[in-house]
Amino acid sequence: MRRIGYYKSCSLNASSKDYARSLEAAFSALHTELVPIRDWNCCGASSAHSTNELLGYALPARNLALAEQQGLTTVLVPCSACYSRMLQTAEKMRLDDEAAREINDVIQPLRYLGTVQIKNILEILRDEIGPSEILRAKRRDLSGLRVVCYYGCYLTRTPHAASFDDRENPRTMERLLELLGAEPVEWPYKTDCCGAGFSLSEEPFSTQLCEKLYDMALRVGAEAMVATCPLCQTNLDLNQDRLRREKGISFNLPVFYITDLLGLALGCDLGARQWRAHFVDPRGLLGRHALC
Amino acid sequence: MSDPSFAERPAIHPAGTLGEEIRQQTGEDVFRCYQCMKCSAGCPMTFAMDYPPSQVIRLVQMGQEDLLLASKTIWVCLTCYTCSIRCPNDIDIAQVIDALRERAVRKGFLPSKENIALFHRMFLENVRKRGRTFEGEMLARYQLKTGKAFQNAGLGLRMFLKGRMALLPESVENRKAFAEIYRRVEERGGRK
Repeated sequence: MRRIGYYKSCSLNASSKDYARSLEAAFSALHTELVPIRDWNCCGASSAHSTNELLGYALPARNLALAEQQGLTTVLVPCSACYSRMLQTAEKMRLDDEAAREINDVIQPLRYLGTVQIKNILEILRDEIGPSEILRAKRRDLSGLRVVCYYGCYLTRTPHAASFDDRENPRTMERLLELLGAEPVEWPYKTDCCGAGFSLSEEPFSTQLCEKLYDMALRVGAEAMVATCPLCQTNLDLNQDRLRREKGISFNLPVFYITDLLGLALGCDLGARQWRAHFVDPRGLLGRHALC
Repeated sequence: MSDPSFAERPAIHPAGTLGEEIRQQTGEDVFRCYQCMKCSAGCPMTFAMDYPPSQVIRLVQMGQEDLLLASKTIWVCLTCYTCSIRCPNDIDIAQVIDALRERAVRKGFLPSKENIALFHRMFLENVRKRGRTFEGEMLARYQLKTGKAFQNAGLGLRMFLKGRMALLPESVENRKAFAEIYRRVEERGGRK
């Protein structure tokens, strides 16, 4: 059985518990054991790097050091914000000796030497599991399901580190969904910001950014959106609920986590609970495609 | 006799100026900007900004610190990095804005967007306590403080009903040792 390090993070323990459910079921169907980082802490997300650079590096560095100590060489980070912070911290410490000393000084007695590879969910599925293995484990075809792939900001926009795919027009998610039989539709907003950072502090900004995305998704004929980031999924899902309540506008676009659809194709049965956790209930859509 | 070649000329980075201080802090050289405005064209938040990113860079070059630290822009920037990856001169503009925001906090500038600043502060306080966020507590405290408790009262409940709210907080094993990280960062007053 393959073993991969796992930074589960705050979101997957709370507001996106449903992501953890489908992700863990899918990896189990792919015969992969996810090994959590012991005693992990919050990466500080946007708030740390936004107001305190050193803290913004120190919080992810503690997790990197713990993973290293545990002998984990590859760590899956499903949340894009955490992924970005962990990757940028690792790169900062690799390229800037003085910064590395200072960061290690702050997290002592821990110390990060630089041996951990940080990977997002699409990278793990593409490079560690691979298409042939996914095809072998596939139990069901998602044929006819027309979706837009939403990458958001942090999967490909990693300023000081190489990106795992094209920064402006990534296609890893589309290829994966094609493999599962779905019909990903090309659209121009796959890496445009959804404003999740303002979901609680400046709601009108985040609904404004989301409306543009929903509108385009419908215009290209998508029936649903697919996201890899718990914060993007929550924001894209929740803002449809807000727009419906406050303005009476209904887009009715279910927002799936990538592992919801992967899990469906692999035959994982997560039951009604999984779909009830969505603000825009996807059961009607899945029923139409005979998928639930 | 002849001028030294362009490459040999000393860079014009007046010591002690804002641009030079930002370069020392972040490694980003704002003097490379030639105002192509690609950053401002791609920025999703310009509609709520007083200075679009290209003007922020220009103002840093000109040392207009007070204007920048009191601006809406530094709080409205979402750090989506669209500007940073498109800059033809490889300036990580979002990181320059991070540095300005950090300066504004340290120098006690009143944030032009109070809720955003408050959210960051409460988020980090929440993490300091247990090493992990406890979303329910943070949401409740934040809503009480901003007076959004009424307006947004249903949000926590709706998340709970969807099974998307943890009822009990999680914590790192040794909270005291974890809080030391915060203490050491404060001792250093952030990164030099």
